[in-house]
Order: sequence, then C-alpha cells, then structure tokens
Amino acid sequence: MEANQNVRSPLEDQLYIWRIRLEIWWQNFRNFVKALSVHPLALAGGILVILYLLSAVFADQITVHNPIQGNLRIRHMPPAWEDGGSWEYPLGTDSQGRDLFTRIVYGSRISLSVGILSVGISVIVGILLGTLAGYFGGRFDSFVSRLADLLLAFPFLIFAIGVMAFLGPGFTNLILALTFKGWVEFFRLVRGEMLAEKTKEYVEAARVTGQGHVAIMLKEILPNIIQSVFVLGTLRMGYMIITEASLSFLGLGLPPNIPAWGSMVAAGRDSLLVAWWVSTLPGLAILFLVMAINLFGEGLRDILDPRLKLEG
Amino acid sequence: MARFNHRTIIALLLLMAFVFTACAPTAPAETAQPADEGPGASGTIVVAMGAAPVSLDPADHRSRESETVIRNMFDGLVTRDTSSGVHMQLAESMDWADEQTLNVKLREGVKFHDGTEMTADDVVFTFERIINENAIEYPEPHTSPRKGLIAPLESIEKTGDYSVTMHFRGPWPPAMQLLVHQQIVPKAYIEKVGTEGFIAKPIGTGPFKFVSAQPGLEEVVLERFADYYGGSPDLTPVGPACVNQVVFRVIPEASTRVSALLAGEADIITNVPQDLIPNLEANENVQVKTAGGTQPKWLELNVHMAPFDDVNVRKAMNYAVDKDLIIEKIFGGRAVALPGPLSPYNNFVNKSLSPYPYDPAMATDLLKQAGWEDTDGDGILDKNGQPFTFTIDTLEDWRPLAEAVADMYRAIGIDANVRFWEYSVIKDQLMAGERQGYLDDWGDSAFDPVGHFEAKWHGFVADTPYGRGNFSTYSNDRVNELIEQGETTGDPAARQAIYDEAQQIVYDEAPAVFLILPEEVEAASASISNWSPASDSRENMHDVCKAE
Repeated sequence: MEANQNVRSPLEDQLYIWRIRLEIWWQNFRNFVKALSVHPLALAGGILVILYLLSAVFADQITVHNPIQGNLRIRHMPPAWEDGGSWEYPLGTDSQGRDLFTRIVYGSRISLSVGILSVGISVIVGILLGTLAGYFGGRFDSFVSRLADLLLAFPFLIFAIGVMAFLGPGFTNLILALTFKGWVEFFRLVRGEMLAEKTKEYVEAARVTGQGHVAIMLKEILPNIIQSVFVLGTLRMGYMIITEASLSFLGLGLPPNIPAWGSMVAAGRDSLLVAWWVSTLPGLAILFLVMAINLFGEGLRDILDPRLKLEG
Repeated sequence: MARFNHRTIIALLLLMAFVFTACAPTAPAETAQPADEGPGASGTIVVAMGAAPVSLDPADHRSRESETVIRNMFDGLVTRDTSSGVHMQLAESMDWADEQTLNVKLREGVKFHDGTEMTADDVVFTFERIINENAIEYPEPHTSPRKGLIAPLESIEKTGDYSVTMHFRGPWPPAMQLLVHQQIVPKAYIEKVGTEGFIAKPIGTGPFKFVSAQPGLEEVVLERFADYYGGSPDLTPVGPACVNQVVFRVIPEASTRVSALLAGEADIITNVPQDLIPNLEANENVQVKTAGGTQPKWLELNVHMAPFDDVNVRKAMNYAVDKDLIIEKIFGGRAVALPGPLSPYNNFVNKSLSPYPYDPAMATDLLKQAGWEDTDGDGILDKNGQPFTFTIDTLEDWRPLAEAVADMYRAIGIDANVRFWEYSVIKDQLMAGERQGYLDDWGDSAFDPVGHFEAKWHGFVADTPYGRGNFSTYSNDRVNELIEQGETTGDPAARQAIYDEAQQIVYDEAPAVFLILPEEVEAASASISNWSPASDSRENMHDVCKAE
C-alpha cells in the first residue's frame, strides 16, 4: 500500500503526461491569440473564416428553403432591402426562383470542402515526397524535383482546365485536378527545409543516440518545419477556392445542379442588367472568404514563421 | 501588422477580374472602319450575331448564321417575305408543266459582282453542284449538305439562255418554300478559281459584295453592289441597297451583344435574351422587334429506354410541365405553347390538337398506372426499388428553360437533373440512342411539315433525310408511311388529311414533351429604319437604311 503511493500506475503516468501537454497547448494557444490580437486584420479574417465554416456545417439549420428546387413564380425577386424584396428571401432569388441566401450558404460547403481537401491532400503528398527527397536525396530526389519543375511550368488554372476537360465534371475529379499540381509547392517547401535541417546538430545527436531514419524524420525534423507548411497551406487555400470557382464558372467544376459559387456567378451573367444580385452576391461571397483566408494566413505567417516573410 | 504581399494582391486582382468579367462587356476588337462612302449610299451597319457562319459557300452549309450572311451576297430564284410569302427573285416567272416538271424563266441583265451576266448555265451549275454526289471538291470531295433540302430534284436542264427546266422524282408540294434556301452561284468563276478560291472571295448576284472576312468568319465585311438589279419587283424598295457597308460580327455572349448595341458598337443584334428585353424596350435609342418563331423546343424522350418506353410515362411528362408559366416568366409572353409535334404556324398544323394542359394530378395518376409511386417516402417516385432519376441533356443556350422543366419534374417526385453539352459532342450519342432525354430545337423556316416530320418523327434510315434528327428513336410504321405519302401528295386537302393523322398519332404517343415556340427577338438602334427581323433567319440588309 505504502509503496503504491510512490509508484504511479501506467494510466496515471499517461494522464500526467497528457495534462502537461494540454497545458502547453493551452499556453501556446493563448500566446497565439494574444499575438493575433496585435494583428487586427488577421483576427477579423480568422473570425470571418470561422463564420463561413459554421454556416457550411450548419447549412441545414440556418436555411429554410431548398437549394435545388426552384419556383418560377418568384423568379428574380430582389434582395429584401430593395423594392419588391421580402425577408423570406433575404438576398433575393435567382433565375429559377431559388433563394439566393440558401444557395450561397450551401455553396460555402463546396468552396470550403474543396479548399480544405485539396490543400490537405496536397500537404500530405508534399510532406511525404518532400521529406523523403530532402532527407535521402539521390535519384529519387532528382526525379521528383524534375517532375515538380515540369508541373510548375504550367499555369495553374490552365492546367486545371485541361485536367477537368479530360476527366469531366465531378467532386472527386475536381479535387484530383487541384491536387495534381497543388502538391508541388509543399514538396518544394518541405524539401528545402529538410535539406537545411538535416545537417543541424540536433539531428546528428538523434542519429548518435541510435534513432532510425523514420523516427528522425517524423519526431525530430518534421515538428520544426510543420509551422511553415501550415502557413503556406492557409495561403494556398484561398487560391484553391478561387481556382474551383473559376472552373465552376467555366462549367468545368461540379455538375450544374450543385450550388457552387462559381457556377452561380456564371448563371447570373445574362440577367445582370435586370437582376444584379444573382451574379454579384455569390461573387462577393468568394471575395470575402478568400480575403479572410489570406488575411488570416498573413497574420499566421507573421506569428508562426517570421522567416517566410523575407521571401515575400 | 499583416502586410499585403504579392500573393494577396494577386488573389484580390484575380477576384476582381473574376467578379467584373460578369459585369464588364469585353470590347470587341475594333477592326472594320467605315469605308469611303460610295455615291448614293451612306453608312455602315454592324450586325452582331451569336455564332459564326460555317461557310460563305451557299452550297456547303446547314447553318442559320451562314444563311444570314449569304443571303445578302447571293440571291435565289425565289425569296420569302415573312408576311407575304414567296416571291420571284432571280426567276422572272415559274410554271409547272405538270406535277413533276417546273419551267423557270430567268430575269435578264442580272450581273454577278465581277460584272459577268447570270444565265441559265449558272443556274444549272448551281443545282447540279448541290444534287450531284461529291460535286464540291474542297477541302476534300463531298456532297453538298444542302442536297437534303431539295432531295426530290432529279435533274435540271438548260432550255434557253434564260430558261431552265427542273425535273422532280414525283410531285413535290413544298418546292417553292424550299427553293428559297438555294442561292445561285457563278459557274465560270467557280470553274476558274475552284471552291477554295470561291470561299476565299465569294461572288454572287446579291445586293452586297464581299470585301473581307476574318479567319473563322468571326467578322465578315460586305460592301454595297452598285449594279444590283434591284431584287424582287414585288418587294419594295427595289434597287441597290441603301447602306454602303455591312459588317457581320460574332459576339457569342448575349449580354455582351446587348452592351455593344447600347454602346453604339453594333446597330442590329440577333437572339436577344428574354431577360434583357425590358431593359432595351425602356431605352428610347433602341427598337426591339420580334418575328414568329420557327424553332420549336422539344424534350425528346428515348422511347427505347426505361422509363420512357412506357407511353403513360411519356404522357405524364407532358402533363407535368406548366408551359404557360414558363412562357410568362421566362419568355415574357413572347412564345407560344406547342399544340403537338408541329409549330402552330405550320401551314399544315392539325387544328384539332391543343397543347397538353398542365395537370400534375393527371401526371401523378399516369405515373402510378405505369408503376411509379413513392413507396419509401423519400419524396422520389420509385418502381421495383429503383428511383425515377433521369438527366435532361441540353445546350447551354436553353439553360433557363431546361432548369425550369427539371424543377417541374422534381415537384412531382421525379429526380431530374440537367446537363449541358456541345451539340457536336452529344449528337452521336443521341443518334445511337444512348441518352434519355434531350431538350433542343429544330429549325423549320419553310412552314411546311416535311422538314420537321422527316427529320424528327420518321424512323431513322441511313443515307436519307429520314430521321436524321430523330433523337427519341421513335419509329411508327403508320407515321413513316404517312410522312412518305405527304411528301408526294400535291392536293392540299389530301395532304392536310395525311398530316392531321400523323400529328394525331405522334401527339398520342408523345415521343417528346412538346414544349414551346419562342419568337425571334432582335433589336436595333433607333437610327436604323426599314428594318424588321425575319422568321427564317434572314437579315435583309438590302432594305435597311441608317440615319447619320
């Protein structure tokens, strides 16, 4: 009994470790928020992004109309603040008589999931290839680096248009088209950082203590460069969302009945002179989201990774 | 503080560009400058069209835009006025020796743009170039795509310097209406320069001569032909054209065409989108005019593919569409509901048919009889565990119509989706019977039932005009028989009886949802006078004047 009080059980051990970890994370988070508060634009961007995220997640709860089913009788109804508008359709209705607010809210699901997924997959592929290439070098490195150079030679949008025209519309194809080239930036970042880090003393020390390559890569080096990846990922997300919107605008994104902002802008072009809101409001939704993400990303970079700033 | 670096700025610029491409019309490249104005005429008229002509050879196209341009450079034996029908043009008179033989007396003293006189040789050459196999040698030998428009013509012979005789395989009632669509070309010139030389610099007898064209015919510039014989004496004004120069320019985007008109960059625009008409009508510098439509819209249902292999389902699809609401809301009242397979303006429309009424309860009933019911309560009809899902394939041009129709189907529990295609991409799939439902139109400017019946409602027969646009894969022996009879029956009362029966059968079997016929809407600047749009896609620039 007495002895047990001094020796903690493995469970207690783990709990203790996690408590410490949580404390550190909480401290980091508080420092981060404190740092953000001196970047008011980044803070505003962050809040806006969270609002967008919430509206995407709770789209079913905050809208009352069907985003797909139209009703010709209420076609081209103006936003509520204009003559002839109604608060039942706060942002008006489109050419099929669908509530524009509902469609914009559902459209945020598409934009955000495309942004998050395409950046997420690009990050995973980029980290994997970049770590291996930077750490081991050799033929694998030359091969992947040349491939990356090759892909970088194509303008992103043109490349994505080509891939979509080849694959056809659809969510999976869209993610494929965006990640096909999207991983390159992350690969180059991770590879470069890897090359710089692997000669440092702490890596030498880890090697001397007998750690394997995988452990050194994952536990020693990666945590030191993950912040740069995070910053770049945020900045790229806005770009991915714009590209998705451009593809949808051209009719190469998702099937036409799915509410995506780009295709909503495209569909309203012909009625722009009689119903400006049909094109303009989804366009503003894109503008604000991408601006918010970029402002947040800029702030994030200043806080987490001052080195990257020199590049800009 | 977060500073704006180049990434943010580029992203913002992209966005701005993105949002404003929607607002700002792209200025068309400024190319055609007004030429020196010839004596007796003044002004340049710019006509903005939605699509480019495919060729300036009157024998080598099947496109409305080509005809729009060509008929200002080339005249035919006869022409058509939207209100008063067919009139003599290069022919002075025509008479039927018997039901199969047409004697044509040509006008004398008509000059081609190179100064040579038009004679019987040119007319014989023109028609032989159309009906003979592989008569067009460039870019590779092929038969004129316009042969189908004059298929019963067996031969044509010269009977004098200014007279020819046409021999038909049988009686051919719509001959006059269809001769309007064949224009006379110069024999000596084409034999000298070949088709390649001819399409590079076409020469005709029309009121305007060719000046220049951009590659792809995105822009065609024509100039007044001072020696023009004057055109049909029945249709005033007679004489050379009023304006000095005409420019046909392609502006694909409808709202951009409207902006070009408002900005004074175009004088006449075609295919005005319905949503923009109120705006144009409110502008005192613009005149908007319409002509009865000739391009009925159908949703053709594949009768060999479930669920549309059941006539009750096809009828239900007809009852489920509220055509009047579509006409009111999308077309601003400028359209009519189709009473059946033919346009209501067709000379042989079955007057006892009336459009399928909007009756969703009837549609639901018919679907129930066919076994489609919502048994699992998910709001979508099902049968044997399969949901009623189908895709309306269509072209981007018909987006509002197709989406409205899909909405009406969803309202009765049919999961309808819309997909947009390029016609050239989907056509083979349609002919192979691989698609379920196709919404599009088919032009019929002759107002005769032959055009629509042979192309759309006759079963497909390879190497004939029969069923060449039959996307429902519908084929009914009795209807086929009636169509063939109708083409060779001269007596109008007998023809009416034949087509009445054929229309009744197609109406009852409903291989398509008979939708609507929109009017052709065009707009012009107020400075343009003596202008009116034509039902048959002609832009008659001969009559038009422009105030300075």
